[in-house]
Amino acid sequence: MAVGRSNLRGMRATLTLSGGNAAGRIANVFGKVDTVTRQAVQEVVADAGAREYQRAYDLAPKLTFFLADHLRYRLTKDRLAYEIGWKSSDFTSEGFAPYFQYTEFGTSKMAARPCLFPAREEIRPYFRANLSRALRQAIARRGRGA
Amino acid sequence: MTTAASPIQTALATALLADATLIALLAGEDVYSQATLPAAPTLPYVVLGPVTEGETAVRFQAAGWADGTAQLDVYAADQTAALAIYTRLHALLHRTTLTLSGATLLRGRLSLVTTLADPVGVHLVARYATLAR
Repeated sequence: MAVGRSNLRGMRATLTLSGGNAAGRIANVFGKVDTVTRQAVQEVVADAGAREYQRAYDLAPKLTFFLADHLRYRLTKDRLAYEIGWKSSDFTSEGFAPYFQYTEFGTSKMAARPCLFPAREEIRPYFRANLSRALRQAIARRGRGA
Repeated sequence: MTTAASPIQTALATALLADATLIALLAGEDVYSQATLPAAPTLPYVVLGPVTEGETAVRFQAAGWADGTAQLDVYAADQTAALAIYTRLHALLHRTTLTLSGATLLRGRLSLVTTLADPVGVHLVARYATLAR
């Protein structure tokens, strides 16, 4: 469902988790001939993404709320995947170092206080179940010749 | 590592400490949990993070399996040393089934998430996902 991606080059850093890529591949297989399935998968992805974003927000450290309030959520243009994470420019523009990587992963001096990965783990079964249901319905429609 | 919070951590620690090549890379049995991490550990070292348990597919639940994901942290003086340790961890843990006293870990997957600058050098973050019972 999701791929962790992060990099740190000087002060430029991003940390995002992407979800729904598998859904996109599946939707492409069905979607070329089945618009209903494609829309159903898009709804599953959007629902899971919104839930995952909300859960990550809930879990984010909130000493100042800066970290939680700058968590970003974005659906891709085709609405078959989403990204949740932070952009370093949101931090540097306010005079902060992009410290989100250190709260998510910890350091040798500080234990991690993750929110992205736990949120993903929590939402993954929900996402899988809904995606399976959408695909079962697509297969049933095809069986009926609809 | 003397104590562990979960069967997955116990199994991971046992597997890692049993590997002479990894111990040589770490120059000692420097595999810890957050609970056992000394105040000033000697570089390089590995920290086994807490395990996040997910919801396993019904057919696995019926057989007594639970899935779990753990963060593994490698702290080293430089990127080369950190990657050498990660390469060994990958050989030990990725797509292998560990059967140890107390736990069986089924076909775990180890993936490199990122490397970060750290006050002591380099912090390499990896994630290990498995089914366990």
